[in-house]
Parts: sequence; C-alpha cells; structure tokens
Amino acid sequence: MGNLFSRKVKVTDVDRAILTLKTQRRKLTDYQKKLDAVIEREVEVARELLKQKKKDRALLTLKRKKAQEELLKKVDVWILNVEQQLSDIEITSRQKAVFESLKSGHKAIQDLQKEVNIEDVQKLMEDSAEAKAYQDEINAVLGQQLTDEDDEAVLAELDELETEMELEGLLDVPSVPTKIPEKPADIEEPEREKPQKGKLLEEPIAEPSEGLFVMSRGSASDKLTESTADKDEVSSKEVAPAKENAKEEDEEILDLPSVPTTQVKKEEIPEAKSSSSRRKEEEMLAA
Amino acid sequence: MDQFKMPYFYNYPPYFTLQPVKDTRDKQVQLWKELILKYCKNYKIFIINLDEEFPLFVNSSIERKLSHEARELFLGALVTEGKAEWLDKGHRKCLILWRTITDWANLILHFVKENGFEDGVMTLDEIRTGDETRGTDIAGIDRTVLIKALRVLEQRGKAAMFKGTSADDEGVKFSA
Repeated sequence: MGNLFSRKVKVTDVDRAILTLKTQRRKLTDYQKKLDAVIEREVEVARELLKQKKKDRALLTLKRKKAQEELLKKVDVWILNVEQQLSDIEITSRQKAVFESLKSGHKAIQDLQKEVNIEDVQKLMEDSAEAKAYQDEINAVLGQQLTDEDDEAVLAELDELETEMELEGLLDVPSVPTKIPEKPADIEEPEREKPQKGKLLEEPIAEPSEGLFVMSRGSASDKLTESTADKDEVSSKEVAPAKENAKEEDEEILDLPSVPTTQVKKEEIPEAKSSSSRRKEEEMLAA
Repeated sequence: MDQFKMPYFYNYPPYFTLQPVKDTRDKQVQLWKELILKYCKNYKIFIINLDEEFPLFVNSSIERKLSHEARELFLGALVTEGKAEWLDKGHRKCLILWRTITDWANLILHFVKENGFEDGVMTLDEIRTGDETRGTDIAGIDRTVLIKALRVLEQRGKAAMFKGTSADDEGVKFSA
C-alpha cells in the first residue's frame, strides 16, 4: 500500500503466551466435543444392551459414561482457568498501559513545571502589582481632572436647558403629574394610551354621539387594560404606577357624565404621547 | 443459507456444451464466470476441486453436466481475471475469490477495529470459527484465503503472524 514507514508489528512473549492459552482453550473445547460424542454413544450402547437383556454390560457402559461426564466437568474447570488467565493477562496489560500513560503524563507536568521558576513567578507578581499601583495612581490623577471638567460641562448644559424651557414658557408648569387632578383630564386617559395602538385610535372618533360614546368608553377601558398589560411586558417597573392610575380612572370614568371631548381629542390624540402636550390639553380643557 | 436461484441459462442445454463460435463462447464463459462467483459466495465455497463432483456443474433436471475441459476453461477465465487462483500446477484445485484478497484484508481490519482487537492476539482458528467472528462475514473464511489476507495486512504493518510453542497454534497479532 505504498507505506513508507511500514513498521513491523512486534510480537512479544506476552503475545505468544496468549496464543498458547487460546490454542489450549480451543483444544479443550474440541476435547469436550469429543467427550460429548462419546457420552452420547455410551448411552446408545447402554440402550442397545438393555434391549438385549445384557444388564451387566449396560451397567458397565453407564459407569463409563459417568466417568466421561466427570471428565467433562473437569475440562470445564480447565477451560475456565485458561479463560481466567487470559483475562488476567488482558487486565494486567491494560493496567500497564494505564500506568505508562500516567507516567508520561506526570513527566509532561514535571517538564512544564521545570520551565516555570517559583521565584520568577513571585517577582512577576510583585512587578505586576507595582505596575497596577502605578496605573491606579495615574487613573486617580486623570480621573479627578476629568470629573471636574465633567461637572462644569453638566452644569453648563443644565443652564442651557433651563433657559430654553423658560423661553418656551413651560418652566412654571408643575412637573409631570403622577395623579391627574382634574376629571376632564381623566376622561382622556383611556384615549391617551391609544396612540400606541392604531386601531384603538379610530374608535371614539368614529362615534361622536353620546350613547355610542358611553359604549365605546366601556370598550376603550377594556382595551386600556389590554394595552397596559402590553406595557407591563415591556417595562413593568416604570409602568406599574401608571397602570394603577389607569385603573382608578376607569372606575371614575364609569360614573362620569360624558363630556363631548371627541373633537378636542381628534386634534390632540396624535401628539398625546408626550407629557408636555398632555399638560397643554389640561389647560385647554380647564379653560 | 439462502436458497440460490439459478439463472435462466442454467436450464438451457447448450450452455453446458462449449460453444464453437467465438462470440457465443465468450458470452457463455462470461455467464458461467458470474454464476460461479455468485454461487460460491452464496454458499461460502472457497475451493472447487475438479476431481470431485461440484453440484453447480451438474444439472440433473436437464441431464447435462459440464465437461472437464469446460470447467477448466471457465475457472481459468476467472484466474485470468484475478478472481480465482489455481492451488496446484495441475489445475485440479481452484481457489475462488468471490471477494478479493485485498477486500478480505480490509474486512478483517475493519472487524479488528470495530471489536477492539487492536494490539490483540487471535488464533487463526478463532478468526475462522471462534465466537468473536460468529455472525460476521469473516466467519468460515478459508484458511488459505485468511493467510493470504493476513499477509497483505502484514505488508501494511497492521498484523504479524506468528507461531506458538506447538506447531499447530498459529496466531496473528493486530495493530491498527
């Protein structure tokens, strides 16, 4: 097969011993087969002799048969011994192989360890600790300067924002209400959630009449809970308080007389997302 | 062993007579070659002895049998193809290689690898009739074929044949 390094398989004494044992086993098995045949024949002969009324001879034959059977049992034990020894050899050679591989593994570890000097490692660790300390020092110095600059920048930005908001005239409005104080605002609350769902947006707009509006409010509040549930999945922590509010509002809504806010809503809803526009609404409604 | 199904031509008397016309004879030889290989593979026959009756060469239902000349011709054709080997100079015994020696060698090597006999010792008898090979294609392999296959493995450095203390224990050590 064009094998350049066709190494010869080495046959050791162990292999020869195994071969001898295996041959012995085969020979014993053959011997058993022979004995089996003999025993069978003896039985036949005994039967024949009995037919011919030669009881003594039959008895003798059976005795011989008995002896053969004893021999068969002995051979069984021999075979067992041979097999036992075969497996012992097997186990021992496996043990040797395991030992050899463990030994070479140990040698590999030792060789590797030789390359690493404990003093070198200690020195290395000290050196790197020093380097780390140096690094930390630099960081501390640099960090301080950075934070000073950052603070200035942040303050500047804050000022800027404040002026901007003042200009818009929004600074005096109180911060985003967590509880909505006025009832008209409450009514809008279900709708305010709607911009997130396109379908919901259309419902109240399409139903301007009073009776229908009451019905739609019912369905709107149903959908509100749905949408809050949706929100829950997105960011439960932030939305949690809002959800509670919405529920309170739902209850209130049912008691309220309907207010024809639909026209206002038409304009407001698309941009109702931001809190500033909500505040605008409140003002308008209050007016 | 599966009952072997004879091909259609086996029941046509002309096929038992050597054909004089070359084209016809070539065809006849071809058919017989295939039949011999298939038949031997089916019944795991390794050696055809021309001095003994071989059931394939006799069709009692049409009262025909191959002449000695025809048998030697067909087997000779197989030998030329490398699918058989004469075991003696007188062309009396023929070893039928329905699996080539290389294929046998590969088969044995595969068996050795599959069953964890690498670095193991087996007697030749064990390979032929032992419990280990029972049920495999190797079981019942002819001794001559086995030795030839093992020689191939020896050349590849995958096996070494050796003898034990007594003359009749022949063994082989594998190395995969």
